[in-house]
Amino acid sequence: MNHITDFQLNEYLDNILEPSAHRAVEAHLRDCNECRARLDELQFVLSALKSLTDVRLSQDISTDIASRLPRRPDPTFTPVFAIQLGAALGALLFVTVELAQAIRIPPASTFQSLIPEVRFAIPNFQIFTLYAPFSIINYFSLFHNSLFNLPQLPTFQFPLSGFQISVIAIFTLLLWLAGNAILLRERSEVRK
Amino acid sequence: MSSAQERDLVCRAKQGDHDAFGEIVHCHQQAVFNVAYRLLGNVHDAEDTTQEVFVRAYQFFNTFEADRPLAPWLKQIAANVCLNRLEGQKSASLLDDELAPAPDPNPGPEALIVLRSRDERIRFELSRLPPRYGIVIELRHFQELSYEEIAKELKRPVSDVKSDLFRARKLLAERLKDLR
Repeated sequence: MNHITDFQLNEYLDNILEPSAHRAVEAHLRDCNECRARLDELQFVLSALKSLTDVRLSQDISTDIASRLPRRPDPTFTPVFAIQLGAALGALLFVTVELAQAIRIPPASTFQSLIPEVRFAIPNFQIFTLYAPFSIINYFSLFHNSLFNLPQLPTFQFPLSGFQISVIAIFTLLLWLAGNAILLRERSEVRK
Repeated sequence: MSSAQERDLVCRAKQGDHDAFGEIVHCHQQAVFNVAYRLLGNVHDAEDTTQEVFVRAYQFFNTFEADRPLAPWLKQIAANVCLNRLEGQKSASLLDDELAPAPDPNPGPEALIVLRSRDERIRFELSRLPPRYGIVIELRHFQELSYEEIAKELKRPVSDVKSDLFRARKLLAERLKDLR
C-alpha cells in the first residue's frame, strides 16, 4: 500500500487539495492506521498552536515610546519631496524655454501682413492655433466690410543660450533620477 | 476601537501627532509583543523588539495607507524585525556554534521543570525552531496568511514556503509528543 506523503497530509489538513485528491486521501485514511496516526500528530500540533493564549506585557510601553520616537520631518516637505519639486520646476522651466524659442511670436505689425496667408494656408501650428479664430472671424467679416483689429502681442527674447539650456536639462534629469532613487530606497526599507 | 477611530488616529499620527501615535501603541502593543514573544521566546527581547517595531512603524508611517487595517501591518513588521534579529544572532554565533556542543534536541525533565505550563512549553518549542521555520508558523497559524501571501512577504517561492511549513509542523509534532 502506498502511504500518503507528508506534503499530501499537510495539504489535506490545510484543505487545499483538489476534491478528487481530497477524497482519495480520506479513503486511504479510513484504511491505514499508520497514516491516521501521522495525521493525528499533525492535528495535535495545529490544535496546540490554536490554543496558545496571549501573554500580557508587564508594562505599558506607550508612554516610553514617545521619548524614542525620532523627529519626523514635515511630511509635506520631505527631502524627497523637495528634490521632486525642484525637478518638476526645472522640467517646467525647460519646457517653457523650448516652447518660447519655438514660437518666437512676430510683432503684431509683421503678423498683420500674414493674415491673408493664414486664412487659406496653415504655415505654422502655433500661428494657426493662436490666430485661426481671429482670421476666421475676419474672413466672415469681409462680407460686412469691417475687420477686427488683431491684439498687439508682445515679442519674447529669451536670455539663455543653447548650452545653458542643455545644462538645465541635464541637471533636471539628474534631480529626477536622484529623487526616484531615494524614493525607491525608502520603499525597500519599509518592506524590510 | 472602531475602524473610523483608528483611521482618525492614523491620519493624526501621520501628521506627526505623538499623542495619536501613543494611543495606537497602547492599542496594538499586546499583539505586537505576542508576535515577538512567540518568535524570540524571551520576554526581555520581545519587549525590546516591540519598542523597535513601533519606532520603525513611526518612521515609515507615511507609506501606510490609512484605509487598511493597522494590526496586520504592525504584526508583519514585527515578524520581519524578529526574523532579522534571529538571523543576525545566528550569523553572529555561527563560529561559537561550531565550537560549542549542539543544544539537546530532547531536554530532560529537569530542564523542562521550569516550563510550568503547557503554553510555556509550546512557546519554548516554537522559539527553538530554526528562524525560517518559526516565521512561516507565525505567519500561517497566528497571522493566518495564505501560502501565496507568505511567499510574497518573505520573497520566497510558494514551494519553499510549503516545504518549510510542513517541516516545521513535523518538527513540532516530534518535540511536543510528550504533551499528547
